[in-house]
Amino acid sequence: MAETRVYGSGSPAGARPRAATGFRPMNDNEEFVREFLVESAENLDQLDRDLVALEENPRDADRLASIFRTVHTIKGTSGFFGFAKLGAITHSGEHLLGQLRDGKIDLDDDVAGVLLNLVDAVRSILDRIEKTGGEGDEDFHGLSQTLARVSAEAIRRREDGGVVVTRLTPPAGIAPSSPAVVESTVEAASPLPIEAPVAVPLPLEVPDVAVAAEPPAALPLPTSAQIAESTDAGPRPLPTDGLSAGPAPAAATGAARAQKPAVAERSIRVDLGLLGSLVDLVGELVLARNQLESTVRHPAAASRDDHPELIKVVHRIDSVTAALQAAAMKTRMQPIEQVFSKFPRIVRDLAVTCRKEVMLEIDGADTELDRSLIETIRDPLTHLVRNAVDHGIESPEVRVARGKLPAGRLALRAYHESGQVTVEIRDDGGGIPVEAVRNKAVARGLVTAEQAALLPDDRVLQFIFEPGFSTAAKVTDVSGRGVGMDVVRTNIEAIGGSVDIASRPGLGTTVRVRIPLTLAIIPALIVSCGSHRFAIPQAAVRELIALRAGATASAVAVEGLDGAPVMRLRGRLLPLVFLGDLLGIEATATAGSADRPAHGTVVVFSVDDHVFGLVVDGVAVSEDIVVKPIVAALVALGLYAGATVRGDGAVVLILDPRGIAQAARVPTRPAADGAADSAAAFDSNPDRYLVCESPAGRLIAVPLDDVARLETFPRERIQQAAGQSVVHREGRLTAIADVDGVLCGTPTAIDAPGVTAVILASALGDVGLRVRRILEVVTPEAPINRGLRGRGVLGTIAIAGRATEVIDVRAALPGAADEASRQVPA
Amino acid sequence: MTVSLPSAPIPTIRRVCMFVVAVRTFAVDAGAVQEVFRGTVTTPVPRGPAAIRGLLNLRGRIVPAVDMRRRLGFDPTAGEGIHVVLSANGETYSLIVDAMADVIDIPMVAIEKPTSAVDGAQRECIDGVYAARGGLVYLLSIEAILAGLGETAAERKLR
Repeated sequence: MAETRVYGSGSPAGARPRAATGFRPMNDNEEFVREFLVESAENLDQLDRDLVALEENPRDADRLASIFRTVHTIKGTSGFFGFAKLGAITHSGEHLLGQLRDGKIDLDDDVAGVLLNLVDAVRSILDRIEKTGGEGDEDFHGLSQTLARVSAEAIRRREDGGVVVTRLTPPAGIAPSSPAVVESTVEAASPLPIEAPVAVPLPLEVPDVAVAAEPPAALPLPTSAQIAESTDAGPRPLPTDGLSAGPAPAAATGAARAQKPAVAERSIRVDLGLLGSLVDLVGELVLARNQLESTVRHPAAASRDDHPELIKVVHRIDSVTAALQAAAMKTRMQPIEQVFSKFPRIVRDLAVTCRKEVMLEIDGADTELDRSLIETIRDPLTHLVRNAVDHGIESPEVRVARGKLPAGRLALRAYHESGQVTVEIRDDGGGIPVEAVRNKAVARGLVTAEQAALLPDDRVLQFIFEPGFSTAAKVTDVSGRGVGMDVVRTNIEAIGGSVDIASRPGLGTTVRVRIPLTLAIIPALIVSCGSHRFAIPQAAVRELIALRAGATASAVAVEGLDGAPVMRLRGRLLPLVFLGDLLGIEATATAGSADRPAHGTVVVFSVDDHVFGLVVDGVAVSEDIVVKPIVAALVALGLYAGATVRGDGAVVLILDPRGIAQAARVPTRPAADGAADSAAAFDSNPDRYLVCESPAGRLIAVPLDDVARLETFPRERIQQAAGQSVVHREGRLTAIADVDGVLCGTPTAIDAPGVTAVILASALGDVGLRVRRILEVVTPEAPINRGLRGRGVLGTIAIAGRATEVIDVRAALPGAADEASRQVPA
Repeated sequence: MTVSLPSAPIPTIRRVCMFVVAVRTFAVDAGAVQEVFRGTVTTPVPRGPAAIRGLLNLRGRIVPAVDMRRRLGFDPTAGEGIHVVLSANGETYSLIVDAMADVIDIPMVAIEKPTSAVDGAQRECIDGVYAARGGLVYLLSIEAILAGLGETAAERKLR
């Protein structure tokens, strides 16, 4: 329903069939209905919150009065528009609420449940009205009868026992008057014993509001005449039957406003399109301002001397424009409360279903972010909240057994942090069993057992974001986490956000979702390709790597499995896409060849299942850009996500990393599902070897899995320390081992001006093997012959008929590995 | 038009904005034209439809500029041309033409079907011909001009 909150220009209500109505022009009526729908949607959300809070604190007279008013307003308005079903059920609901308010019955689980059902029914009817203009054929008689029955039973219960204990855990420190913090205790502990009353008849607190009881005759289903009678006055600003004496100036706008009546008076509804064009125009003004400034500041500008006042005016325009821009952007912002407000109800219902007790804390609901983002994060956040209640928080019995309070704590917190909004979902439940995740990751072939053992726990937890990680897995049974977590991550990352998770067994789980403030302005890299400039959304960029002349060895662009260029990056093969080739542009970037040194910048992307490098000529600058739409015919190309206007007025196309991955047919990184084979083929082929020539001219092979990268240093950078050759790179010292020394004990001197080293995978320590030159990467036809082992030799492989020793890196370099794994500060 | 339809006022006059592309005079409905201005810098769209010369910044809006010489199958020129900005289906486009001519009212009855002398790319865009005093005026369908662009884009994508 929330999407009905603010209407765009094309209102759904406008689509309803036009029927003739008396004197009133249809357009007016539609206008009223639309207003009614928008207002009711807001009120229903508030009703959900109020009911859950009331359940928490049944004697909160203000809240009860507010609920009553809301239902009454909907009833009154529905009568005015002739929505009979809506009128009937709200009438029954109002009756029940009236009894509650008058202290005739008590709020127990039954009553609360049926009232929540009422809210759902009202929502469903309103939904139907919005879509079709009519109430639909759904039959709500059952609900009306249930309302009447529950009301009657509650009265009987009261007469029988006179017991009003509804809460086992009296909530402490609730601040129901604060709109930002809604606390609620939800109990799974079903209906309370009625037959064996605990003798605590609570004193009934009659609400402050002076009330008059409804005639009891109204208890059965109201006739339409009754409804008409009580509503014929139309949407009265003040209800006449009960609350007229109450402090209800906000009754006309309903309970949503009751808590902050000031807001209703200070805010108006604005068409979204209008806001959009306002923001656009302000963007234009910013450009004009920039041009004005550069014109005035230009040394040749005579105006500077002629009109000293001009400079002052330009300064003023500058500051006003900046303020206007900030204000315009703010109009798009909405509080995250729009998402949070649904959670008390969701948590309550879920807790009842799962038979758990959950105390929900909400903090920072007034944190604002772009409206379009609010809609996007709704589902992922709901999923995370559900997960926390369903799988995170333990049942009361288990919790007590573990020495915890029976009611679990679920804290939702939103706050601004370094230009982003962070939403934290924290529970104090059982946490995620890391070992189970670790084993699952190994079983799924995401990592090898050795790698998994080395991974820290927090890294292991990230596996639950892998597609399909736990849907069919045992982990689900143990922890339950993971179902749909990949979807959560995909959705959040699609808007340039990120998700991370931390969990401590037995203590709980915290998920942090980071979201950009707005989609309209995104940080981007401006890259060049030939004479063209493009913008790349920074959210998808993982890192930048320079392809430089003379550094060819460090970024070997080898031919990939199917002839596509790839690059070896920290032990993984990175598919490369040359932007110039993709777009048919004359570019300077090149992978390097015998006669042409490598040149360009690799922008490493991580989108969906694709990790690839886009090779551009250069990166000009990183700046915030305003995303503007492009026509459908250009979107259809699948390469561009939009365009932006730069400070000088030039239009720059925004590349779509996802589209590029598809257009270039970048292979998908091995998915979790049974992709062990492709993983091996693509990423960790154990049968691939890097063949090099040792300084002494010996032919050697190193398993490709053990190689992190290839680098070349000037001889001067090699230093001697602790009897070893070391080189200072990337802020640490890397030992450079002499292959010949390892293999036959006779080290060779460094004679060439440049030293080429095979840097080994970091798991093996900071070690590099000094070689004379790199020859090739091969997949031998026959497997390794392990019979021919020797000192530092794993075995031999035949390459072009020539026996080649495979270096056993681990065995060969124990000392070096130990030594170098200690990081030496720079 | 069938007789049974209610007598909605059928326009008897079509107001068009005329311009010159290469050797011919063309016209589009004047109501769709928003503004006309002299050449400006455009940003090319690699892999985009061949007829789109590039994108231009129209007061903060990104507007594709259609090179009408290319679109209508003439030889392109180096000239910057004149931009005729118009909107159709909620999107704004600019048509780059060689020169502007008048806005005139053409009686509907005087509009004829295009002759067989018109072929290829022009044929799909032209929905009528009017014999003005100064020569033939070819009336263009904006929808057809733009729809052709989309097809080109889709075809390219298939490749």
